[in-house]
Amino acid sequence: MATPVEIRVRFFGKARELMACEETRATIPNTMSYQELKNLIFHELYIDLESIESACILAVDHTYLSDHSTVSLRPYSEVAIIPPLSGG
Amino acid sequence: MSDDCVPGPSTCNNGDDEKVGELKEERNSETVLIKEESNEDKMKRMNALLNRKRKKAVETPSESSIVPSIDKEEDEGTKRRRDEARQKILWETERAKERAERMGPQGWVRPKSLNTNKEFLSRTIQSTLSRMQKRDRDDKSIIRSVIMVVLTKTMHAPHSLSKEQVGRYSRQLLVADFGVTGQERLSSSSVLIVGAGGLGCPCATYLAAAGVGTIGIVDFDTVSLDNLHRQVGHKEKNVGKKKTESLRDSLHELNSSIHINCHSVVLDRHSALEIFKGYDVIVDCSDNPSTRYLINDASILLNKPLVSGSALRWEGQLTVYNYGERCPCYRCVFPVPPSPHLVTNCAEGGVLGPIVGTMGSLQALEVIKIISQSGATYAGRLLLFDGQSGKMTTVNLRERSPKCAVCGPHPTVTELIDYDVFCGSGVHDKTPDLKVLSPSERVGVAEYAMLRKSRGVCSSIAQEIEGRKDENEGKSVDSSIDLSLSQSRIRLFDTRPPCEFAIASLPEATNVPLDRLKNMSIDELVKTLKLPMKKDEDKDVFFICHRGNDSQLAVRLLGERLTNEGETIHSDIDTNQLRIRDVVGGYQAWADIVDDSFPVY
Ligand SMILES: [Zn+2]
Repeated sequence: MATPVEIRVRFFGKARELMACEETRATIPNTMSYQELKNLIFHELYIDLESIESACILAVDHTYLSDHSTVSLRPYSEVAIIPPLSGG
Repeated sequence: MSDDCVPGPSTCNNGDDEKVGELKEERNSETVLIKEESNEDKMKRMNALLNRKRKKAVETPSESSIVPSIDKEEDEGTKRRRDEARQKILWETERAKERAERMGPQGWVRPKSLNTNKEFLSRTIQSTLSRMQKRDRDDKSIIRSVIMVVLTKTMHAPHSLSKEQVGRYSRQLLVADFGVTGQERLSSSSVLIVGAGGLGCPCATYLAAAGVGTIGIVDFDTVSLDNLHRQVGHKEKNVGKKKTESLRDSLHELNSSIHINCHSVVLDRHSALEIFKGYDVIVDCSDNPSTRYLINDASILLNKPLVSGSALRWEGQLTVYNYGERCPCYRCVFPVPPSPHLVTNCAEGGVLGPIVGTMGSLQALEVIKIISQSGATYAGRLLLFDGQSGKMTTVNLRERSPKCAVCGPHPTVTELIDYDVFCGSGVHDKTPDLKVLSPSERVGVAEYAMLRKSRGVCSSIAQEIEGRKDENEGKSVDSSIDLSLSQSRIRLFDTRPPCEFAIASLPEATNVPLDRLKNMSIDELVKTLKLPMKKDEDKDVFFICHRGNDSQLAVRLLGERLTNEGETIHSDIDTNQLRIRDVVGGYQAWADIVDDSFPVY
């Protein structure tokens, strides 16, 4: 049974630009599927990021989330939203 | 004896050869043992050898123990004896190296460097033998000479580096886990750097300095003044010159002993494979998604490790793709390219020199680790560098994706494709031109200039002050001129971020950044944009930005909001009567066409 936890959300690159902030907090269920987390982030919590959804990778506690993984979050887990940077 | 045709660097001269000749007889079957030793050790060994020579001087010199016993076979042809002698020497060399390998941890040359030494020794032996054959000398002296040469080489330096190289690279030769072997590998490697910009300059500079044997540079662009704050491989005098040649000259000034290839072409599906195939490691220092996917696919198709770096504003990313069985590629991690209008490049978003400098230097370090086979690389990990907060975060990436279009088991990309189509944007359009508005919703800069003039707006504050002076017929003018007068004559809103607005703007413009505009309620919009509420008021509203993209989005946004929520505003006028337009091409076009004194950036 999922219980709510407070997590840290970090934005990188274009996500940081669109959110106009580096980091925020959110309270979300501590366990869910990758797809559920994605929906939550891009369609509920941070709608401004909807446009970059397909190009972003998500990492929880410094580990890449792959398509079919189940996400487990602890209090203050770090969810990173990472679009590619292409400048150089 | 001349060393001219001995391949590889030489550390000996004729005098040394003679000296070695004296010592040689005492060394019997351990003649070609390879050892890394300190000067102190070397002196001790020399003295020991000399003492043994003195002691044994009266004993029979057992020449037969160091040369193959060919005396008994004098009847056989010279050719056969020569072949046998050669075989014997090679066999001895092999034995010696096996011993060296077994003794690895005690300070002898470690096994991983043996390949280079093996190659080097056999080259030395072969070339000495072939020279010997040309001269009419007896076999004993041939073999003696061969052993002398091999001995000399291996005694002074059990590696292929020249004295000059040892001196130049000494400070990195001293680094444990890099050392002589690392340097040998670096000096015989070739690295391709795609992009001679902010990442490419520091990366190429460090690799050239470190002595990478061959460096290739790909770039079609020329040096411009606004590159120089970060592209530190270029110099003021080279503005307008090809970046490849400018960087090559700069690298050669630093290290004239390396080889540099310039590829001054647009890297595309037709040119990439031909260029890439000549290099051991590929470095992505490019500045757009289209080129990044191209570089990735070409690296996968040719199975070369790819060191990828990127940067924007205060941030950088670094990883190594396709290095190891499970290491992912760019497409495994980012299978879908970002939509072109959501890609911010350095020309739009800006970047700080030390950010690209850091990332480019880290790329050089990854290349050095890959080539010297020392250290853990960023393969399978993504470094996120945030220079503003000083945070470095490493994210463990996924393994190679079984669904990957290029490196998966069932690839759909089996040859290079059109990456401009794949990404929806090209290499050249660094800032894509949006076309979201119809011509009636837009105004050209020339037309806008006439319009504002007809309404009495001057093109600069200076002119404004001048104008007021004229109006006041020489009366002293208050220095704190109230610009609201001109602002009220025409409604121009500047959608750029405040840091860009601070660089330069038209005097009548009011800064309302697009991000702020997006988050405003309809009432705030009406208030901020001072939308005309009375019948006799001017119905024009203009938006301007840097290059004419955001201004179009602002026009569209305002139009939609007024259509959807317009009835909630209490107004004397119908919002449909408003003429909301954007200034085509923004300040860039203004500077190009109307006012060349306007600062461009
Ligand atoms: Zn892949």
